[in-house]
Parts: sequence; structure tokens; C-alpha cells
Amino acid sequence: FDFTKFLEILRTKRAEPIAKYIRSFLISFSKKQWTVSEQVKLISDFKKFMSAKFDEFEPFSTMASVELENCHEGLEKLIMNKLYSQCFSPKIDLKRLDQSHREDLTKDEVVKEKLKQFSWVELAHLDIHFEESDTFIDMAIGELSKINNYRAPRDKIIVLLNCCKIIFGYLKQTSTEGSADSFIPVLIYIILKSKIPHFVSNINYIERFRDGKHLSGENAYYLSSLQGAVNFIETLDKDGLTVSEEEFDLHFAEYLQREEDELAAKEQEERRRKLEAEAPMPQRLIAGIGARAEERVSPSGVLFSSAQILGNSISSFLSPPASSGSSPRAKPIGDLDDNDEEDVQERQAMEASMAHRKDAFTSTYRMLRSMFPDLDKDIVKELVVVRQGNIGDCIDVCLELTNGN
Amino acid sequence: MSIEDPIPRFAQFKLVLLGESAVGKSSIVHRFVKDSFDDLRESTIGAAFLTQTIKLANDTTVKFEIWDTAGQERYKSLAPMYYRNANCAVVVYDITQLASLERAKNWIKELQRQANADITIALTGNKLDLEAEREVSTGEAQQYAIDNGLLFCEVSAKTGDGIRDVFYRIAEQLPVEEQIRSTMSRSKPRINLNKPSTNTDQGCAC
Repeated sequence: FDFTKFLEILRTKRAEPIAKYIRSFLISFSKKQWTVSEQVKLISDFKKFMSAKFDEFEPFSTMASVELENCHEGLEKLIMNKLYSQCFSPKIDLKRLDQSHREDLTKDEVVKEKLKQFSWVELAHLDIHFEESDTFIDMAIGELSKINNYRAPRDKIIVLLNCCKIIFGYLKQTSTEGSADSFIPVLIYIILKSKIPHFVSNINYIERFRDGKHLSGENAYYLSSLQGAVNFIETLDKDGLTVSEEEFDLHFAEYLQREEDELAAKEQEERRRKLEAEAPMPQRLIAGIGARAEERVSPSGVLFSSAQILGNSISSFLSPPASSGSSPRAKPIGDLDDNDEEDVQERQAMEASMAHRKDAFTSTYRMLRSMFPDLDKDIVKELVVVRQGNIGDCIDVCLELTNGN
Repeated sequence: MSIEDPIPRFAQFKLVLLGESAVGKSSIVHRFVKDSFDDLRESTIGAAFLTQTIKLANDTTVKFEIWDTAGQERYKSLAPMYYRNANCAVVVYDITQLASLERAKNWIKELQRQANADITIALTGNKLDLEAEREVSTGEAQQYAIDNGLLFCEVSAKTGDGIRDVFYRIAEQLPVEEQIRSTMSRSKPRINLNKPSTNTDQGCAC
């Protein structure tokens, strides 16, 4: 799948009618906050509509099926990237949340609490008795945590599949049969250790907005497994684990203590902030200098910021009230250039990761070595370079190599 | 494909695999997939999800999407995630463990209550190679299957005995013709002579 290629095609003169349809869809979609079921229907109807338009307009109508498929994928990614802040529950403006979005967030909170409560769980508590490998666990968690970095449903599900692939690599290394009996507990364990936020929102978002024809077979299986694992955690209690009464009580007491400490710290922080806000200017200055050395406020800083406040209030009088749309955007939503703020962020993150590519190569190499100790060192090294350190691809090849033996 | 080509007669079904963890339910599937010469496996992630096609008479290909489940009691609540929309289920017990049959019966009750109404269920006794340690008589399990409208097989994943049979007998019960007819009528208006077909990922068998 080549997103850039799709965007390039979209920018050509011939594709102008198609670009126009997309633009006007994005604009009208953003005019209102729809309910979840409306969103799902609107987006799926629009994809169907565009599918017919692809058949009608050049250059799409004469494309080979592979290229056309690339455009369908591109379309989904483009519109979901643009509509993320209206469709992914944690990103939606609180005032515009639909009932179902709210439910996503409530469940996210429940799971978050459970992850805190059960952070002590080990594989043995899930009746998995093979050696834990930090490399694997870290790698799987690292992969899964990318799920919140991506906005397109396709990208999110690829993250999940890669994580599952790493788990199967791990099972293979421990000579465990790669069946659901061992896969599910390890997946649950990875989620418990990951502390990744918004699992429920992510799963529902993928189910709602990933094109149905791609949510079948293997993809559906692993998405259902993630969903099952998260549901399990959502209702997890002592009976879900193999643990003695004493051990559980001990961990539970520790959890309560942590919660209490956290709450106390939060309250203290709030009190301090309130005090600062109420204090007249000079005292605020002193508090700033005294309490937080790292955020020391200089006198000129204070003057400058208050001047700014004044300036803002004047300019807000002079400028007309902001038009519809609650989130301020650098560019209008209908702008199809993939350059808005979040895109830039995504790209920057990608560039940063390029800088760390060498590290990634090394860690992939190390991981593969520990997963497949029998494979020749140089072959693994070469493989990592050829496959650009892509962990999923590398594991595939290694599994093939070892299966052949 | 051009319009003159014979239309492949192809149907695809979701099969869910249930049973206690030590009864060897995954081994049954692995044996089935390994023994099939027709190598159309598309599993890329791992062995918990496998696909396997079988050829029936009159040039019909049936593809099974096989969904493995975790058999441990504590993951019982995950099962509905897996059997929703399943067309068929293989519920496995171990002929040397009476308790595993009881567990299988519970799965069957749950499926009949909550899964698709027309689901085809095959009660399958594994470990036929351990005849000497048998605890569940063939007659007892078979009678239960008859009373509840299930297919019944005894197999050995170890020797391969009876494995193929399970899947072929399930295929016979599935609404193959119905699915082929509905796919054909659905895909008809989409035939476009100017460009290659776009719905090849539905798994054409050619």
C-alpha cells in the first residue's frame, strides 16, 4: 500500500472531480457531530459512492485492480486521517460526544483502572509456565503501543497483527504449540503489562471504520482476540488468576496504597495551584521562584505574559467571532494536502524513528537472535538489513527458515 | 478472468474449534492442514487461525476459516467473540477423560442457545489411539450426538485416523449450493469487461 502515490494521483488535474467529491464530503461531515451509527453509515456510503465514481473517472477507471485497490485504501486512510478528531472517541471534543463515544471512554477508564490494579500479574498467574523473555515482551509491547500513533484503521490493525506475530515467534521459541490455549494468555499478559490507554476506543474505531471486506479472515480473528482479551481484563478479578489469597491481598493492598498516594499528591498539587492563582502578583512571583526552580518565572516573563493577555483580549474584541467548528485548525478540513498539524506530527515521529533506525536494526537483530538461536548469525544480520528492520517481515522469514529444517 | 471462463464454484465457511485445553483440538486441525495436499494455506500471523480448502464433487471448492479458541475454563467468557457468525463448530473431547465430554456438552448447549441457529456442530472424540485408556464409550457419545442433532466422529490426531472425515462430513452439511448461488448473483452486476475483476481477494480458487 502506497499512500503517497494515491495522494499524488489525487493532485493531478484529471483526478480533480474525485478530489472535489472528497473535499465536499469532508466539509459537510465536519459541519455537525453525528452519532456513531450515523458516522459509520455516512463513511461507508461515501466509500461505496466513491467506488462507483472511481469506475467513472479517469485515471481510476482504467487502472489495474491492484492500483485501484491502492486508491480504495488511500481513500479510507485520507478521510479517516482528516476525520479522526470526530470519530476516535478520545480525540472528540467533550461537548460533542455521542452516547456510544461516551461508552467507549467509560470502558477505557475501567480497563485503565484494571491495568493499574493488576500490573503485578506474571505469566504463571495465567498458568503459562515457560521462561519469560523481556526482549519479546518489550518488543510486543513496543509494537502494540504504536496503536495510538496512527489514525488510519488499517495502520492500527497492522500494529495489532505485528504484535501477534511477535507473540507467535515467542511461543515458537519456547517450543509451545502456537494454539489459542497459549496465545490468548500471552496476549492478555502483554496488554496487562503495556499500560496502553484507549484499547476499547481503538477496537471500536477499527470495527466501525475499517472497510468490511478487510475485516474478515485472519484480521477479524486477531481483532476478536484483542477484543476478547480486553473484555477479560475489564472484568478481571481474583478468580480469573491462579493466585493464593495471601498474594492477591498483598498486591491489592499495595495497589490501594499507590492509589492513595497518587490521590494525595494530586490534591496537594491542586491546593498549591489554587494558592498560586489566588495570590496577588508579587506573591505569585515569589512562589514561582521559591517552589519550582525548573519553571522559574522571571519578572520580565510575568510582564510579558500579562501584556500578552491584554493584547489577546483587545484583538478578540477586534476580530469577528470564530465561525463554526470547535477545534482551531491551521488549515480548513477540506484541504486535501496531507499537511495538517497531526500529519506533520506523524511525519516528524516517522523521521525521528528513521534517526533511530540503526537502534531498531540492532534491537530487531538481537531479538531475532534470541528467538531463533539456531539460525546463522550472518543470515539474520543480512535479513534485518534487507527487510529494513521490519520485525513482522523478519519473523516471517525466520519462521519459514526454521520450518524448513 | 473473462466472462467465458467457467465460474469457479467456491464457498467459504467459518469454523470454530471448541474444547478443553488438553483434548488436542489444535492438533486435530494441524493434522488436517498438514495432511492436505492442497496447499492453499494463507495463515501469515500464527497457528491460532488457519485456513484450509477441500475439494468436493462437481468441481466445488470449500474453504474453511478455522478459529481456534482458548480451552481453559477461565477464558470461557471469550468464546462468544469467536463463535459469532460461525457456520460450523468442531467440539472436541478426549475419549480417555470422561470430564472432557461433560465440558463438550456444555459448549454444545451454549452454541445451540447463542450461536447462529443453523450452525453445524460436530462432536469429535480425540485420542482414538489410546483405546486401552478409554473412559467414554462410542455408544454413549454417539447417542448424545443423535439426540441433539450433531455430527459425530472419533479421531486420532496422532495417527491421522478419521481426521479428514470430520471436515468432509461437515462440508456435506453446509449450505454450499446456497452460498455459491448468492455469491454469483451478487457478483453478476459487478462484471466489468474493461478491467480486471476487483473482487479476487474473495479467494477465487484458480
